[in-house]
Amino acid sequence: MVGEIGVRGVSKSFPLEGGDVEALKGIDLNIASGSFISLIGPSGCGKSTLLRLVAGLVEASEGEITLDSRRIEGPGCERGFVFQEHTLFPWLNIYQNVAFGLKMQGLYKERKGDVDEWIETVSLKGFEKSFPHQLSGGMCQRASLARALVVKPKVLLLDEPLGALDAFTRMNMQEELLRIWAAHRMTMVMVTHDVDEAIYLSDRVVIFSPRPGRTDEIVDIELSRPRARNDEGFIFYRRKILGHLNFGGIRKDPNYSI
Amino acid sequence: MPNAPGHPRVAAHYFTYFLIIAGALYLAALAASVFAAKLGERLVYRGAFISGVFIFLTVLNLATSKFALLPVLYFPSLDKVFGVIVEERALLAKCISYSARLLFIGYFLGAVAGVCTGICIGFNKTVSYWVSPLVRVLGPIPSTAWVPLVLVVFPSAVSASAFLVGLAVWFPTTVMTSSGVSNVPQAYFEVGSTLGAKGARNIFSIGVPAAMPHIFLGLFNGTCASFITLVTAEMIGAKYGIGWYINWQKDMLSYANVYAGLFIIGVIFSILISGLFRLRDKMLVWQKGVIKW
Ligand SMILES: Nc1ncnc2c1ncn2[C@@H]1O[C@H](COP(=O)(O)OP(=O)(O)OP(=O)(O)O)[C@@H](O)[C@H]1O
Ligand SMILES: [Mg+2]
Repeated sequence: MVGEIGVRGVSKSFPLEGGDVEALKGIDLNIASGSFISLIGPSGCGKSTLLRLVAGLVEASEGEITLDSRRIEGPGCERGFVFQEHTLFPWLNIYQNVAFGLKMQGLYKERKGDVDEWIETVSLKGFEKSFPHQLSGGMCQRASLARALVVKPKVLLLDEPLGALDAFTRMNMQEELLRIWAAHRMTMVMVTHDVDEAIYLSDRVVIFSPRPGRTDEIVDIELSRPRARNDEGFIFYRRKILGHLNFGGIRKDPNYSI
Repeated sequence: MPNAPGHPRVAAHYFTYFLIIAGALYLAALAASVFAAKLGERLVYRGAFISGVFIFLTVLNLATSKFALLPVLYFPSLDKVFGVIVEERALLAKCISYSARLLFIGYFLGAVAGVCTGICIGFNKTVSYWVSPLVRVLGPIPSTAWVPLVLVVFPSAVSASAFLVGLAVWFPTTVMTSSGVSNVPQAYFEVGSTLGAKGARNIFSIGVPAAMPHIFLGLFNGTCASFITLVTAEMIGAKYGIGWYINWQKDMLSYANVYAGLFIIGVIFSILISGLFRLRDKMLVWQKGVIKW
């Protein structure tokens, strides 16, 4: 198994006028290979920053991050990334977008078939020739997913990938993610604001404290799959995680999720 | 209706011929549109504009040949202007081919140099540091100001003229390309890097296509600038050329010929620009509904 991520003593601060902003402080986290991890926490606590650190898009101020015991320096194609807003290239059609990674690595000729396969997996067959602006938000996000997966990353990093979608599309995409994860057994790390989504999908939920972000609490979700959103165990975890999120002892409406 | 006595006699009533030919063409197009619905739609859409042009020409004709309301020297009759085009067609055709060659060489070199400079400035901080100020200083210098220097530096008049045209194209193309490249959203490069894009791939697979709409804007402005410069560029030792023709006829005070030259420049320019628009629409289908300009 590959795709094990180690985060050791990682801090990150951004220089800002009038002093630095500490986004993350002393994060320690081990992500087992092939597991599904959700990061959850209040806005601005550094979830995206951690994901970007793992992707190699930014550099840690302190500490180190490893992938399969090798230190991460800079971005690489073994770590795929899906952003909240789809970042499909508007000048390429869906097929070309999905094929982009293979072309960049000079693997397109041998693995042409993978492109069609992934387009089919994310149910976009028939839209190969469409441009991103001709598709709905959900379709674009599915295409982004296919584009990230076609290069066979060991780790898939997802920054609120479903945040911009309506509830219905969202649930469909959750199923799709689970299917892909089960079939390909890669490590997935997802940032989400939706507690139910985190419980439904993840093996572990990492809860962040407000800025500077720290890993407050790690909740292992010990529910068998497929999971039902309204059974007792599910509701237990929901209450538990919401409890952790109500920091500072202020009781909030238990249905409220950040 | 007879012409006003002040105007010199013309060999033939060319404007009348022009009207007859244009009218016949219009009628033919109308007849054809019975079979081609699309052409009909275009005709209806353009109808007002076409009528406008003819009303304007008629007013102009009345004001010049018929009543001589405007100074005859500066406002020759339309008969004369069209007459020049017909009677001097051999010379004019030669001029057009000379100008076309000059424009083509100058535009091509200027556009290539502009896109390259723009890309370098957009992607490389060091190049940007040293070259951007240079571009800003060189760009606004009018081409007339270059003439003495260019005459000394370049071995032949043609290369000097081509340089002037190229320079005029180079400036807007460089500016638009570099601003296009530096405005490409960072997210595209980030996605690219997680998909294995490195170095030059970043530039040619992400930066340039993303900046393409800006590059085209630069090329449009460049086309405009190249035509404006043409007259200046052909002041220096050109043997033929539309710009040269206009200069020469202006010195001879034959304004009918000057207008004929200007008319030809206008027609060629609009043909080129619509060609460039077509090319853009073809190359940038993706940006329909994404970017508007
Ligand atoms: N490039 C940057 N420059 C300066 N400050 C930054 C930068 N990126 C992030 N920050 C700061 O770091 C902190 C954490 O940002 P981050 O985007 O990681 O939060 P987040 O947990 O993803 O929030 P959200 O849930 O709203 O997406 C914020 O206070 C933000 O202002
Ligand atoms: Mg975020």
